This record gives sequence, structure tokens and C-alpha cells, in this order.
Amino acid sequence: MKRIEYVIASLLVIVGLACLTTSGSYLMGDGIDAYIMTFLQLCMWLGIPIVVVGLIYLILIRLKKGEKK
Amino acid sequence: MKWNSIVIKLGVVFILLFIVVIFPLGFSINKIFSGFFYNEVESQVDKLSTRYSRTITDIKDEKILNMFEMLADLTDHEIIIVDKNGEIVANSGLPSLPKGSKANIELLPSLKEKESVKIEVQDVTTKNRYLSIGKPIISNKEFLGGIFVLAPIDGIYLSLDRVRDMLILAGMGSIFLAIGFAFFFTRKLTTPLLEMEKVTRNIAHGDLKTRVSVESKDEIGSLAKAINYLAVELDKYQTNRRQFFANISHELRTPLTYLGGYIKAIQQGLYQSDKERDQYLFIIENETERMTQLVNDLFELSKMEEGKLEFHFEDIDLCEVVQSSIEKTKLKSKEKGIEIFLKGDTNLPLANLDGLRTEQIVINLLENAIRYTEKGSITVRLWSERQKIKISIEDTGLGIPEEDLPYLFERFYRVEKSRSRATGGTGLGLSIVKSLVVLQQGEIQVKSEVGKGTSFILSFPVVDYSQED
Repeated sequence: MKRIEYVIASLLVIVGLACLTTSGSYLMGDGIDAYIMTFLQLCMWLGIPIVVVGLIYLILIRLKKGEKK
Repeated sequence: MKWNSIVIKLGVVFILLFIVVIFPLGFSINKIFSGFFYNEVESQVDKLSTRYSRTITDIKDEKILNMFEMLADLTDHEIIIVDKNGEIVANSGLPSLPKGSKANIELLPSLKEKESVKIEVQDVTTKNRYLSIGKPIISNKEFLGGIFVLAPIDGIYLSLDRVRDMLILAGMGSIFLAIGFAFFFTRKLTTPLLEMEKVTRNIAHGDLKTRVSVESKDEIGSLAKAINYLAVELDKYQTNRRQFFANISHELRTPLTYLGGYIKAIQQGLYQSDKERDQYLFIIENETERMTQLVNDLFELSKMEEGKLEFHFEDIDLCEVVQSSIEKTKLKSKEKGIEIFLKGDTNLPLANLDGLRTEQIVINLLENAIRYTEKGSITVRLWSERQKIKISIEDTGLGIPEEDLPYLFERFYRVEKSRSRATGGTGLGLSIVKSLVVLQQGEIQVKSEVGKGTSFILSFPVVDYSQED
């Protein structure tokens, strides 16, 4: 992947997160605090599946290596 | 990046799948929210109207009617009371339905049947929308009229519109997120495929040294290995082809040079005696035979490679084939003073092979053994093992160095190139033997030790009569 492609993909993810954060924090009242809190919670919910899948992948790789030995 | 590239196609498919999921999901979430708010209001209004209808005992009492109108102001709901004829007797504040006017008389039959009535109404004057639930007023089992409690629902619709807008924004955000991740993953997934496409194109253009660098252990890794294997095989094939042409031109040029030279010598009388001339003629005859043999062998090999060689399979006794082959090569072995021994089981099971071709294999191996054995003997053994009949042809000849063994069955491969003309042969014998063995579902192995001798082991499957039934 070229650098420009990484930048495009990252921008799309950031725009997506911004939209989700705005929609999540809009009904919670004004203020940057609500926005930041929603953004952090959103990142957490986004990160949870990635971390879980990553952990399962690492465990599977370790198990496979164990089988080979 | 091309618009019809696999990255775009895969990415579009991912996003379309995501949209296919998110659109109905958004619709469901919207329905859940609308239903939830609406039901909340409906249940509240239903409870109030039930309670009020039970409380009213007389709809002609002005005090009671005024009290309900006040109650409506306190609870932020509107109340309308109608008598049994549908005439409005109390109104907490809807300008379009003044006291004394007729209410919707279509609802009265339901109220008379003691059923509750639910309708959504809009005030013509104020344009406000209300959810109205009407209950019958019954006193001493007598239908007096009905009470309608109206809850304003414009606020609910406004809230729902806001929620819907936020859901659309969240949906758009999710689509952006999906596009970002889809772009990243499709690029990562397709990079090895694009590399393989490039390498395959290079191979097609003749760059056979190029290789794919993908090392994953999934199907893509397997495909990369297959492409690399293909490149190696093609490279080997091309090298073999070049070698073959070089060998064939060499093999033909050498005898032709001899023939040309000796014919010229005879034509110009460049010999001193008749004996010398006969010797030249003998050489010409030998080289002609050699060339004929070479052309015959090449023709046979090419027929085998094209699958045009016909086999007449029948159940044969390999012991008989071996005995016949020994008989046919006896003369040559006697000339060199080499004895051929036949050992092993003579009561062997039958094998489904072409008798003549199998004899050709054994004769070829025996002649080879005679050619490279100066003294000693040749032993042919026969035995059966695990549904296979095995034949070994062992000589006490020069032996073959270990590094030459893997190439022994290749065309024109000679262990000692300098001795090739002296020992004779076309360099195609073992190649023909291997092809004939493989085409008859057999196997051939070679073991050798320099100075001690060489052993070829043939293996053919026994006829399985149980399968024929």
C-alpha cells in the first residue's frame, strides 16, 4: 500500500468516527466534554472487536506452533 | 488504480454488503424508537381515559365538567366529553370542537358497545396533532356518553425526527468507516494477488527466474507456491529443450562427420590397402546403424510423450518374459564373457502388462548391464512383495557416482561422456525404459556403488482379480 492510500483510508475512518460521535453526542447536550466522552467510548467499542479478534488470532497461532513442536 | 480492478470490485462488494445490512437495521431501529415513544404516550392516555371515565357519574353536572376541564390543564392533556348523541358537553381547549357541536358520530356505536376508541386527530384551527383515546361513560349500566383524552404528539414526532436525523448521520458515519476499513483490507488482501498476476505475466514473457514472494500458509500462499513451481518447471523444461536440441545436433553431427570423412577417403582413394578400405566401410556401416537406432529411439520417445504408443495389455508371466530376454541377450553377454543368472521365485502371480514392451524394458536393462560390465556377472532376481512383482537386474560393472543417479533417466545423459562412443548406445535407452515402465503403472529404481556395480529394480502391480469381478 502506498502512503497516499493509507492517508485516504485513515481519513475515511476519521470522518466516519466524527459522524458517529456527532450523532451519539447530539442528544446528550452541548459541550466539547460530551463530544470527547462519546468519541472515547466509540473508540473503545471499535477497539474491543479488534483486540478480541487479535487475541484469538495470536492464541490460534501459538496453538498451531505448539502442535508442530 | 483501474476502475475495474479487483480492489475496487471487492471494496464495492464489501460496502454493498454493509449497506444491505445497515439500511434494514436503520429502518428497524427507527421503528423501535417510534413504537416505543408512541406506546408510552398511548398507554398513559389509555390509563387516564379509563380512570376519568370511571370517575364521571353525571355528564350534565356543570361542576363535574368544569373540574375535568381544569384537570386537563393540570395534566397537559385535552379532554372532550360527549353525550350519548355525540354532542360535545365539555372541551378543555380545542378550538375546532366547541361545546354544543357534534363530535365524530361514527365513533359512538363503538363507545355504546363499551369499547375504547383510538384515533389520531388534528385540530383544524391550531394544526396541532393529538392522540385521542375515548372511553364510554357508564352509570348504573346506562350509557351516558364518552370521554376523550387527547395527548399532543407533535413533540413526539419532533423528537423522532431528530432521532431519525441522528440515525442517518450515524449510518453515514458507519458507511465512511466501512469504506475506510474495506479499502484497507481489500488492498491488503489483493496485494499478493496483484503480485502474482505481475509475476505470471513476467513468466509468460519468458522471465523464468522471477518468483512470487508471498509466504502465507493459506490458499494464496499455496497459489504462490504453485506459480513458483510452475516457473521452476518451465525453466527446467526450457533448459531441457535447449539441451535436447544441443544433444541431438551433437549426436547427429558426430556420425555425419565420420560418414562424410570416410566416404571422401574412399572416393578419393585415400587408403593404402583393401583391408583399410574395408575398415572404413565397417565404420560407415556402424555409424549408419547408430544413426538409424538414434532416429528410431527418438521416434519411439516422441510417440510415448504424445501418448500415441499403443499397448496391448494382457495377463503375463513376468518370469517367462525375463527368461526370453535373457535368451535374446545371451549372445552379447557370451561375447564379453559375462554370465547371466536368474534367481528367485518362478511361481509368481500374473501382471497386466504389454508383453513385448516389458521384454523391451528388460532387454534394454540387460544390454546396458552387459555394456558397462567388463568382468563378473549379471544377476536377475524375481520376487513378489505387497501385491507387486519386482525384478532386479544387478551387474558387477563400473557403477555410477551418486551425484549422477538423479539424472540417469534423462535423455542423452551420460555418466562418462568420453566413453559414450566406445560403449555405444544412443543415450536414450534408460529414458525409454522409464517411460515404458511409468506408462504401464510400474516403478523403476536404481542403486549403484562405484566399482561394485549397479542394480535396477522394476516393480509392477499384480493382477487384482477381485476388482475385475
